[in-house]
Amino acid sequence: MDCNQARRELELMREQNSADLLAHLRRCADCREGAEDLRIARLLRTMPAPEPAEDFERRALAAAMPQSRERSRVRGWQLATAASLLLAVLMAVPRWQQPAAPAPEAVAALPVSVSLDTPRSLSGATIQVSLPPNLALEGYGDARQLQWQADLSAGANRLTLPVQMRQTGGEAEIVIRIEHEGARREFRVPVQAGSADRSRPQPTTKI
Amino acid sequence: MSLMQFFRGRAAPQDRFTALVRPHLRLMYRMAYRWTQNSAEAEDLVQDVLTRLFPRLEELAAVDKPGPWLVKVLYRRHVDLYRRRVSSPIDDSVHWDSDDAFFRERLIDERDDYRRLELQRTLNRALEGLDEGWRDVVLLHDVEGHTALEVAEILEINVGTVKSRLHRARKKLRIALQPGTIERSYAC
Repeated sequence: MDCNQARRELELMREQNSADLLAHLRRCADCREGAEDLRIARLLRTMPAPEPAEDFERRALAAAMPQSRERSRVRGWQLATAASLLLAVLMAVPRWQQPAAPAPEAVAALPVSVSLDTPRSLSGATIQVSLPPNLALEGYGDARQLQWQADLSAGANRLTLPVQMRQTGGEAEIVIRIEHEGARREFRVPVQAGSADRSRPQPTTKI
Repeated sequence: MSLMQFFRGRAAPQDRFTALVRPHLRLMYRMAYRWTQNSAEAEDLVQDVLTRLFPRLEELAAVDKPGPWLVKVLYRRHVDLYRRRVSSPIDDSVHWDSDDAFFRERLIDERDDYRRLELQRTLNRALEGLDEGWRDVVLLHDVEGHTALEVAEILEINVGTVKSRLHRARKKLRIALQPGTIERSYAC
């Protein structure tokens, strides 16, 4: 058997190779190499991969459409993109004075300012603000959660919230979530009425 | 204007997007898996790319071969998200790891193909040792069956580079499958 015949027989991908072919391969290094390349090519071409989760295609398409009711899952990529989403809440609550004569409703109103710092501009970022029951936003009644989209410029972006305290004293925590292209960062801004020291923001990030 | 274009023009963007992308979703998922070696991350990567692609519907509709084009978009996003993360000083522990857990399950489920799967697991592990650029070429060309021209287009390198990387990568893989190398990796 010569090299051409050997190559042709190898291409046939038979279950069992003939004795002639094996004899040729034993003495021909070039054909042995060729045979090994073919074997590797076949193994790579049939390299298995897991199936996506059930219903993946429908879910993925639905989540990609605007006004989709199905929210994009962020799982693994939260980690990936959150690293580039270096937002930070730098400054927040000024001294929150305890009112002298507490009233049952909206006893204190004081704007809370936070600075969202990002190293690059983030267009179409979703900002969500969640309030505990003892806080409210002036002009928004009992709404506990507000969400809107905004373009954040590179650098500091100031966000001022007209916060009212509905009960005197006690601790409260404003949660600000920023979402951009599937990455999400969450900041908790603790506030406490009547205490300037405790009202300093201690942003924590949850990915 | 052909009838097809006429109907396309009238269809809702959502329907047009679905019609264009859906036939390639499995390919995108598989390619994403090859790069991430993690099925959950592969799904997330595809999801992320689809979300970004929807506003680019017209661009997508004008593409001749959507399959390789989508893989190119996927690749770029993967590099942006994943490889940037790898090189991030915050998280330097992430690198391309062969998905051995997947092979373990398959080896139990498919005892008849044990030998083939063992060799494929060895090959997949050997891919780990390749330079990223070589591995990308092997995954696109040898594993997923893209032509050298398509690979060149996807990775934005020239065809000569694709071929030389393939040649060198295969040589390394051959060594990984040499009998002595494999015997050592076998567990009873």
